[in-house]
Amino acid sequence: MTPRLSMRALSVVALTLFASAPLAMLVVTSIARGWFYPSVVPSSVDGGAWAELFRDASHRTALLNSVVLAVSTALVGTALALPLGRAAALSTRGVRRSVALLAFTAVALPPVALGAGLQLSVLTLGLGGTVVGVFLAHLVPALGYLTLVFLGVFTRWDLRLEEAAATLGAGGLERWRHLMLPLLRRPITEALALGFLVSWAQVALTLLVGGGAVRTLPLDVLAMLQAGQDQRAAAGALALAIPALFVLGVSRVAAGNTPAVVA
Amino acid sequence: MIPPHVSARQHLLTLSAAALLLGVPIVVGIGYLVGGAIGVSGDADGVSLGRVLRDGAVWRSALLSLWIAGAGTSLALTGALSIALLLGGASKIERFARTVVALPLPVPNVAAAVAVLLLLSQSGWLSRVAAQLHLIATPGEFPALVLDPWAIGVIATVVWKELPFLALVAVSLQSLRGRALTDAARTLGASPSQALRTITLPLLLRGMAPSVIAVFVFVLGSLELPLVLAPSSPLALPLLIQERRQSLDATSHGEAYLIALLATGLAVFAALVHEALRRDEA
Amino acid sequence: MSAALRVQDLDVLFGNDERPSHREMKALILPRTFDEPRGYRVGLADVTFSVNGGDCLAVLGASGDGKSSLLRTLAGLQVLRRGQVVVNGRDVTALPPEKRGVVYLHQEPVLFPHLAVHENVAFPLTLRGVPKRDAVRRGLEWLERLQVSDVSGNMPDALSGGQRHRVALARALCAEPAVLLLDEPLASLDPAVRRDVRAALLEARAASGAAMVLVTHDLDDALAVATHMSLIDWMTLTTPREPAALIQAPPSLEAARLVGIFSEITGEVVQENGGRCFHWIGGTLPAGELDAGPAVACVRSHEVTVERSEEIHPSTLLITDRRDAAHDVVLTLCDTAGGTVTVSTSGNTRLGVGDGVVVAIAHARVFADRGRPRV
Repeated sequence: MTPRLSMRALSVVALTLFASAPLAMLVVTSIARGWFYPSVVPSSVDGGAWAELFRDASHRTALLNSVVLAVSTALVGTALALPLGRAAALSTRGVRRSVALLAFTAVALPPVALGAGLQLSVLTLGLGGTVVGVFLAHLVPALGYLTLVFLGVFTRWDLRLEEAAATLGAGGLERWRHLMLPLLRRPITEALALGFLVSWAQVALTLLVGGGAVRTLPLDVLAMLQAGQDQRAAAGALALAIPALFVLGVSRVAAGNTPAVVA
Repeated sequence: MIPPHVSARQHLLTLSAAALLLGVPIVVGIGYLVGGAIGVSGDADGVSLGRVLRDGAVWRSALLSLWIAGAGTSLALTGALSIALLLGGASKIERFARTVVALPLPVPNVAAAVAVLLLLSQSGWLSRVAAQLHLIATPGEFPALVLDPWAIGVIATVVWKELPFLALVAVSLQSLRGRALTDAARTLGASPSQALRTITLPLLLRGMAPSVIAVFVFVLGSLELPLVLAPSSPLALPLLIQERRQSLDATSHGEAYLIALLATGLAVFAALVHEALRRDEA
Repeated sequence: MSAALRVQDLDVLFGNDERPSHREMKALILPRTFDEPRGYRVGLADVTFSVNGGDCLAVLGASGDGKSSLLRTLAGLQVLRRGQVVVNGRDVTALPPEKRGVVYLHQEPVLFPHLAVHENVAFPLTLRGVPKRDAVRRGLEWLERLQVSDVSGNMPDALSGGQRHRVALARALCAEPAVLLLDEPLASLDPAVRRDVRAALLEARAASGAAMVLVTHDLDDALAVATHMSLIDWMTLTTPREPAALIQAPPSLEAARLVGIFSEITGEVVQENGGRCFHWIGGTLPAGELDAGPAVACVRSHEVTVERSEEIHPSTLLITDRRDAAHDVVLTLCDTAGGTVTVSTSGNTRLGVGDGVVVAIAHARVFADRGRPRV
C-alpha cells in the first residue's frame, strides 16, 4: 500500500467518524440509563426517553403539527413553485433574474427578521398563533428554495421535447401527463423532500408567527434542552433527524432510476 | 422565449402569480419591519438609526455573528474542496466516502446542535474520554467548547452541517467540468500542482461562490444554533433581535425592528451579490 | 534526419468515459505500461509511424476507431499497454503530459473560462516562469499571426467558433511544442469557419516547425493540411504515404471505404485457366493475386463508361434508377437474373430508366471482402 493510498484510507475513516459521531452520540444518549460522568459508555440502556416522547400528549401534538406542516409545505410549495419556475425560466432574461433574486431573498432573509415582519401581517389576518399562519410563514422560504430548483431545471429544459409532443398530437394535459411529469420525476421528488425539510427544521418562523401557541418538534426539543433533559432532547433530536434522513434517502431512491434528462 | 403552444396570457398570468406569491410576503414583511422601526406598527416606539448604531451591544452581536458565519463557512469550504479534490473520483471507496459525508445534510439544525452539545460540552463525551485518559480530573477542567466566547461549538456545528452541502456542490462542479480543462493545461506544460493552482482551484472557487454566499447568509440568520451553543454575552444577532422584541419596553421593540431591518438589508445585499455571481458563472 | 515524432509498436487502449480511478490517475501522472488495465480494452495495435518536423500526418479513420485515444495516448493523457513514443530522440513514453513537448488540441477548443484570451495564450509561458509581460507579448505575436489579436482582451465566452479555434491554436503554438496533436479540428464547423480554421492550420504548420498529427474522418480535411496520410485499417495504422498515392491505391477495401470516393461493385474472384478473374453481373475484370471468394471492385466515376446497347447479350444491363449528383450520375443497373449494382459515372448522361447498357471499366481496385472488422 502506498503512503498516498493509506492517507486516503485514513481520511475516509476520519470523514466517516466526523459525519456519523454526532448521530451516534444522539442514539447512545437517547437510550442510556444511569450514564454518569466520567463513564464513556452507559452502564445500561432503556427506551424510557423514547416512550415518553410518544406517550406525552403535548409531544404528540407537536409531532403531528410538525408532520402536517412539513407535508403541506412540501406539497403546496412544489405545486406552486413548479409553474412559477417554469414561467420565469421561459421568460425574458430580466424577468428570470428578478424572480431568481426574489426567490433567493426569501431564502436568505434571517428568519427572525422575516418572522418579525410576518408575525405582524399574520396577526392582521387574524391567523396569529394558528397552524395555518405558521404554514403560510413556512411557505415563504420553501417557495424561495423550490422556485430556485425549478428555475434551474427549466432553464436547462429542452423545449423541443414539448414541441415534438405537440406536433405528434399531444394536447396540454397529455403533454403534462405523458412527457413533463415523467421527465420531471427526479426534480419533483427532490423538491418535495426539500420542501419537507425546510418546514421540518424550521424554528424561528414557528416561534414568532406561532407565538408559542403552535408547538412543533424542534421547539419541543429546544424546551427539553433548556429544562436540562438531555436524554429526552437526544431522543427528540433523533426523532427530527431520522425522518429527515429517511425523506432524503427515499427521494434519492425514487429519483434514482429515472433518466437525468433535465438534471 | 415562450413556447408557441403556451398562450401569452397564460404565461403572463403565471408570472404575475409568481411575483405575488414570492414578492408580497417579503414586501409586507419588510414593510411591517419599517413600520415597527418608525413606530407606526406593532407595539413599538420609533427609534433613530443613530441610536442603534451607537449601541455597543449591537456591534458586539454583529461581530460575533459575522465571526461565526465567516469561520464556519471558510472551514466548511476548505473541507469541501479537499473532498472534491481527494475523493472526487469514481472508485468505490471514494463514492462511499461521499455518501457518508452527506449524512448530516438533511439533519435539522436543532438536532445537530443537540448532538454537538452532547459531544463537546464540559460534561460531554469528549470530556468523559479526557477524564478516562486522566487528562483532566473534573469536568470544569475541560476547555469550554460550547457557550464559549469564540463560539467553537456553533462553528463546529456549522462545519458539520454545511460541509456536506458545499462538498456536494464542489464534487458536481468537478464532474461537470470533466477532465478537458486540466488535460489541456497538462499538455500545455502544467505540472499536476500547477494545474491545480492555476485552473482547478480558481474555477472551483468561482463556481462555488454563490453557494458559499448562501451558506454564509443562512448561518448569519440562524437562531437555533447560537441559542443552544453560543455564549449569552454578547448575543448572536438573531438572539439580540429576539431579546429586544421580547422586552417589555416599547423602545426596545423599535430597536429590534430596526436591527432586523439592517439584517434584512444585509441579506438583500447578499442576494444581489449571489445573483451577480451566478450570472457571471452562466 | 531523425523524426520529430517516432512511434513504435504502440498498443492504444480504448478509455472508459467515466473519470479514471485513482490507480489510473496515478498511472496518468506517470504513465506506465499496463497489461490489463480495468475498464480498458485494446483499440489499436502495433501502431508504428514517424513524422518529421514541419510535416503533418493525417490519420483517417471512421468514428469509434480510436482516433482520439491514439492522440491522448501520445499526449500522455491516457494509459497505454505497450510501445514507445519518442519525441526528438527522447523516449517520453513514461513521462507525464507536461514533460513531453507534445500539445494536444481537443476537438472542441478548450479555453480556460476564467482567463482572458491573452492570458490563455500566455498560459504555457507563465508556467515556465516567463515574466507575465513578456509572456503576453509573445502570446500576442501568435494571436496576430493567426489573425485574432483584436479579441486578445476578451473573455473566451465572448468568442465565435472560429475565433476559439484560432485562440486555442495560438496557445498551443505558444508552448513551442515539438509535436502538435489535432483531434478532428475541423469537424462540427460550418463551411465558412472550416475554411478559416484550415487556413489557420496551414499557417501554424508553416510557422511552428512542429510535427503535426491530425486525426479526422473527413478526406477533404486531411487533404487540406496533411503532407502524409495513414488510414486506420483493421485496428492498426497503415504505413504513412503521400495522400495522392494513398487515394490512387488504397491498401484494402476498408481503406477504400474510408477514402469514400469509390463506387463499390460486388462480385466474386474465380480461378480460371491462366489466372484469376473478378466476375460481376456486367462483366469481368483482372483480379491479380487475390484468392478465390467474394470480392469488391472499387471504381471512381471517371473510370466508368456506360454505353447504350442495342442488342442483348449476357453482359447487357438494364437501368432501373437514375439520380443526378453534382458532378456525376448514379445509375442502378440490373441483369436478367435480378442481380443489381449501383455505379457512379461521369460519362454519358443521356441515358434513362429502361435503357439497356454495357459498362466498361477502365481501371478498378479489386479487394477481397473480409466482412466487417470486429472491434
